Amino acid sequence: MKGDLKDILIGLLPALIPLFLLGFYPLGYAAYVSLFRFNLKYPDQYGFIGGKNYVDVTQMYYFIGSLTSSVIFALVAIPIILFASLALAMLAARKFRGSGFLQWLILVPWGIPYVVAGLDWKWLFDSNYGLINDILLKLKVIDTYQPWLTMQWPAMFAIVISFIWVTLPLPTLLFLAGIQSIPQELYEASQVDGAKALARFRAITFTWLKPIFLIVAILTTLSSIQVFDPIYVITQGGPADFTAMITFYTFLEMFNFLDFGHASALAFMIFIVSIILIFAYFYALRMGRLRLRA
Amino acid sequence: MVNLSLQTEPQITTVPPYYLPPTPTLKNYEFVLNAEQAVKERLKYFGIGGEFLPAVATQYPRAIVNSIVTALLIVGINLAAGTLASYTFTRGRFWGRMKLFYATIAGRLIPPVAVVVPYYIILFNFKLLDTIPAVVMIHAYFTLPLTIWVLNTYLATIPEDIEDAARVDGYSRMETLRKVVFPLIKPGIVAIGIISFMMSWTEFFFAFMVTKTEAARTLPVIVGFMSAQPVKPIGIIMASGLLAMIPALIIIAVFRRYLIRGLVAGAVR
Repeated sequence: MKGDLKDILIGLLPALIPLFLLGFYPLGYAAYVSLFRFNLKYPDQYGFIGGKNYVDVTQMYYFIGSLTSSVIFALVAIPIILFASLALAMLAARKFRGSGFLQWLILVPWGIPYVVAGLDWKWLFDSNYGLINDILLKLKVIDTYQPWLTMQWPAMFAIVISFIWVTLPLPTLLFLAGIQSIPQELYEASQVDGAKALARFRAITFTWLKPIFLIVAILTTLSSIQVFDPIYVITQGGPADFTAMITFYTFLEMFNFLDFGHASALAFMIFIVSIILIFAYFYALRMGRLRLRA
Repeated sequence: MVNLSLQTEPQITTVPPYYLPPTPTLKNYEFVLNAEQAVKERLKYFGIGGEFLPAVATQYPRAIVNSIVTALLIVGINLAAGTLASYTFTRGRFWGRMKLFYATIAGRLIPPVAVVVPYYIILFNFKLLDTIPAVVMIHAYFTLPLTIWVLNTYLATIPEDIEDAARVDGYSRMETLRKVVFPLIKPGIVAIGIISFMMSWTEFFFAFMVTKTEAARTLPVIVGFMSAQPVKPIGIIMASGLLAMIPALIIIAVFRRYLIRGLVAGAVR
């Protein structure tokens, strides 16, 4: 089929204009700024300095720490989301009384803005009035009320859990759709062949879901690398910068230290890392390249 | 959260906390929608220098309208522009289409913090700062890649023969899309519409950065602002957060079946 130019233009322009105007142009601008000394506190020093911003930020006092906390966050959040959403989807795909309600219940957090979810968990972990304290006290796990959010690991945990809570529905939904599209004949055939439950899961469910696994892995990784709202609402990077991830410092560089060069360099690094990770996923799941289907 | 929203301020700040509201009250919801009255009652109750209400709270009713308008526009844009673009990518044969498609998907990878300052400059130059169109443009930018991607896998499942038949019968390409393809991919369209609605509805960061007054602030921004105050009326915030969830809940409840069915055919393969 040969499409004529007019149709193609009509088809693509409405979508690509916002995409390029607000996607790649700003990205290019960020890449450009990242090569300059551009600090609003020292406007007279504006000038081209090449890759110096990149070297500078890696030597900043926060770099290693924030990188570590980003990695910790990603390593905790991504596997949990992947496997929890798969498990939930398998549960919700079963036909039983109330499965519709279960599906609804799983999807509900989707409608919660990250900000609200963050607030919610912040209050649950509150040192004076939070329910978590009270429950743990009644279970005799702790003796007195604890200021959870001033402790490193619990604070991280609060951020992770509020993030998971809101992020979980979309992967679950995608997995659910995938599971429901598995032809039942495959299972019947495997039963005839005498396959055990685990073997069935590996041979049929997992194989069939691989493409979705890829999409989910990519979406989850992206959102957890770029996580910002829960940190902003719950801990503001504290205690002692333990939850201040690299995105949070990019934000600080830009809006508190007003060093646009540094911030752009950081942001561009995040972008590069995202791309590398995505190629790694394609390689790991042996899906070949992302392809356009026709 | 529901629990807290139904309690009064003194009840919320008791030790040990209540698991269920002792005397359920809808006062907080009333306060959310009518901030002036809330201020008066709180003054009476706590006296001057006691608890106060963040000023942004008065912008809440306006923010509901803003959020709904923005999200509906986003759904419209995604349905129209997203479908058109995805269809063109799937069926059109033109030079550089693969590269363009990768570029489209890669648009999703850009970290929000990287682009927010350029946004500010661009929007400032176009005199669009702090307007709903600005928020809509930005939301359109980050919902469209996913729409195009999912619809592409969906469109690929439709046999091209059907369209050829329609073309032979004298339909133009756009007519084919509207009258033949569109009905076929309806479930996918519904799913995409909902996903983009949710993304726009819950987005905080960009809306937070490019809005300054009540003219364009969306719900998450207001709630975020209220929670950033040093002294916060937690009950009212919880009520406002819950109110902000309601449209999403209704949409999920109504469209759950379509959503799953739409994705079953689409997102797979």
